[in-house]
Amino acid sequence: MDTDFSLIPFKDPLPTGLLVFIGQHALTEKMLELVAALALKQRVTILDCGNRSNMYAVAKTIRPYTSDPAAVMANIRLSRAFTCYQVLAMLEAVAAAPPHEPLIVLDLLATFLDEDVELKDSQRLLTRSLTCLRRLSQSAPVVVSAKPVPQISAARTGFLDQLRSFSDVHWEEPPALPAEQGLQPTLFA
Amino acid sequence: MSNPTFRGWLLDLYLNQQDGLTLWFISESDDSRVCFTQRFPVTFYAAGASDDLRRLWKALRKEPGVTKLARQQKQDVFVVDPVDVLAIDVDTPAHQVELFHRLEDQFPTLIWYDADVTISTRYIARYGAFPLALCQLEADSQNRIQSLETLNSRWDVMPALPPLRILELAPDVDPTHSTVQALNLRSDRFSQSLPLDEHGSYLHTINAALSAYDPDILVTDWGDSWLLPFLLRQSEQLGIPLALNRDPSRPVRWQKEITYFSYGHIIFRPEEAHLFGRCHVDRKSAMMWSDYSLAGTLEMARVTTLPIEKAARVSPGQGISAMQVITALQKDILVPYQKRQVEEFKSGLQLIQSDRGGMIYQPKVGLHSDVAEVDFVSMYPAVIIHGNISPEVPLPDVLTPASEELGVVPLTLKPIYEKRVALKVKARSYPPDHPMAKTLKARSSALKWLLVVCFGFLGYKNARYGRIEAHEAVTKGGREVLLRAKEVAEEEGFEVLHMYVDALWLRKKGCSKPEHFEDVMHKISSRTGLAIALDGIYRWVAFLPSKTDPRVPIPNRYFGVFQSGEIKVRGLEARRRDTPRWIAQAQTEMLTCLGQAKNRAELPEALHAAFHVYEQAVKRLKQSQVPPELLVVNGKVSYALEAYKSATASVRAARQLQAAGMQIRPGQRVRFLFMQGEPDVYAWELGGQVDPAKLDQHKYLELLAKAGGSVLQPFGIDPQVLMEWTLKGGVQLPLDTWNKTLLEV
Repeated sequence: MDTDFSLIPFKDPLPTGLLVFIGQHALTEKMLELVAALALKQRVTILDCGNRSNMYAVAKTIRPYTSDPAAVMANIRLSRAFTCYQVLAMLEAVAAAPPHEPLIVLDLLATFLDEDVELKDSQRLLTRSLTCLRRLSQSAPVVVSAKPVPQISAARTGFLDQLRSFSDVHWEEPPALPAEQGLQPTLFA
Repeated sequence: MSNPTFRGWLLDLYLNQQDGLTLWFISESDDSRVCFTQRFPVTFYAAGASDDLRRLWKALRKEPGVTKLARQQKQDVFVVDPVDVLAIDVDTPAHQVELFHRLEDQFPTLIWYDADVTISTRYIARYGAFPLALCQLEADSQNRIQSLETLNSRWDVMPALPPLRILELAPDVDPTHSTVQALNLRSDRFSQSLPLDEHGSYLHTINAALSAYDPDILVTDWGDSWLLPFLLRQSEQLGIPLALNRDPSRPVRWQKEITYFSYGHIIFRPEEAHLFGRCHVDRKSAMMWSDYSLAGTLEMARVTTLPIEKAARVSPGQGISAMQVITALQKDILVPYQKRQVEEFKSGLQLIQSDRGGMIYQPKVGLHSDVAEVDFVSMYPAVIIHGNISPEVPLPDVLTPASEELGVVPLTLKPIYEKRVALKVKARSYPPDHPMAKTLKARSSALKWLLVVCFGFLGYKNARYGRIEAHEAVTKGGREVLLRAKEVAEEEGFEVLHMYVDALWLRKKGCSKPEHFEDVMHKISSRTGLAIALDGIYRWVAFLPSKTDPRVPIPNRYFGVFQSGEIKVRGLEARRRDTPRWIAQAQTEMLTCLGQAKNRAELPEALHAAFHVYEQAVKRLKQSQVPPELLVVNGKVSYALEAYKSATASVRAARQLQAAGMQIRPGQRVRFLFMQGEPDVYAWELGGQVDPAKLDQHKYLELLAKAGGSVLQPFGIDPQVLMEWTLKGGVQLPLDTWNKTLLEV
């Protein structure tokens, strides 16, 4: 599959370890391209923590590369979590029988930024979740995506630092240039 | 014993640090209001690793207020086998709340059950008593309840209700826009306007009314956001005590403002003022007041068991949640504090197949006559009950239940569904304008909202008894039901013009009376197993296309006139909350004109009348004759203002308010006018007089033309041409196409 990953350093095959990618929208588009690329060759497990698993997009991506898209889609195994309590429960369940195929965690921090959950509880649950991920990353590649913490959740900015500190490799999307300093010069100055 | 046996209706119930509970009753015999207290020990549970449970046991052994600790086995709804728990009995509910919050910090890895159940929910689970339940009790000389029996049921269709004393208090104008000059005080015995003088004599009058009339419910306008804070501030500044509570030992309780996300919308709920011993209902904060008023609010409180003040303000989802907890408690199922159950693994293909919504069959754009609209009665709740869809029960095979014994969710919904049907039947036994018919309709509407949200709640992240697979099973069942209905209709020779989740629009040559559709409805009902009803037969109905591409039909965007003369509108400007009142009125008037046509032959005349309404509206706007308050746009800000990169009109108006020192929260409504020049909007809450000549006439003409175009388009008027005609004039409107279009209907 000739997918352009030049802006994001996904290596093929993915190395074992905890790889963290941070960018706008938790880099969903790129992550789903990665899922598609992996599913064409092998089984892949997705833990979706931010309602990001748009399987229509994956199906569309794989379609030109296979005559049996249903079989490729069956290579994807996924589960969604909608609260940080569920994220931890999901990770603990997966860690009990670790998969040997790559594990993709989409938008890990989304539920931990939920203001309905007290900061101390989110913090505690995140630490336990990251410990689980660390353990899982010892047997297979674990790719985690996250988005920058928005201003409204400023009190939880430390979560991103904590995620970075648990990673073996982390890559961050370069910040977008302000519109007025864009690369495209004006045609008529 | 002062009250050896007492009969009365439960009005209010709240925590009491010393005795457990305080309860206020309305006496059945002498109209008095009586306060009782009651001991109410409660139990909550902890589960987890044995070592952790042992540490917890050790920590609680000598804890004051903990009366008993015991190892038990209880049923967690999401776990097949019973779980080992430590049951913690505490002497009072207030102590339990305080203890639990301490333990939660101290033992973060434990799983807690029944830990945050509200007191009203616990009370009904134990005694069956709910707001306005008729009870018989025995009490000692200190008015401490010794025993209590509930004499009626929340499912009674025509319950004996207490004679409630209702006092209304409201400012004479909207305080967010104008300066309040007086307060209006009203009850069934008196009505008075109280000028706001500097000596605070209005406070004396309000106090006297509260004391002499002793209301059970204080109904206010802007009571939470302005009136009660104002009165309390004045009371303090002027040194005139104000006894808003019936319980003199309590101050007003303020519940913090919140912003939350619900059904795709950010919603802001302002601070709330709660009273003790009587209820405060702010009509402006009461979520569904415009839909079901006080009768519906009281029905909501009785059925959900939420306190009246809360039932008036919260979303129906909280009501459903409380009812599910009661069902669980009554079935001796644990109530999880935090739901940890996760979605089972699916393949990518399975997610595509299951993660879908309701069935939609695009409408046939244009004008159609003699069309029947049939819809399934509360389809999703019926699918849940029929298919026994609940998180703890195996999912059905499309519509065939996997288990006979009803789960928590269908068990909760079934009585609501049945009561709503009974209320609708009862309402039909009265003439439509009879007060009882209106009350029954309001009560039925309250139940409708509970049924409406129950489906969404199955998929809601924080729903204790939610499960995404169950949520998906409901939409799957709904799609199947609609497909079966379509098959039946087509087998019977009907043309299906449109399908939308739970409704079908059917047409067949020669069918124009209700009896012509009875057979097909009966067949649909027997093939699906669900009840179906005829919403009505349209004299004519217009399905509208997309505004951007007239070739694309838009589901659920239509208007039509039933044979009864009733007009039904969906998806038009008049239905939108942000449309200025005057634009909505103009569009509604146009539709009313069209509704006058009793048959096709009368349509051309009705169309000319509708167009005349439009012309007059354009003229009045151009002559600046429309009062600014009717042109206010009801906008909304969904995020914190600093998060906006490009500012919408609502955001620009909100920033004006912020600059004037007002606080703007995400989800808050912001009203504004479009103005000429800069700034191009004017926030309505800034107050002051607005010169109609300075309004952005062009913008309002555009809005009017869009609204008018939606109505006239099915009759052959191109909205773009209408827009040009409205803004520039001098364009020839192809009015002759009307008759041609109508001939084709």
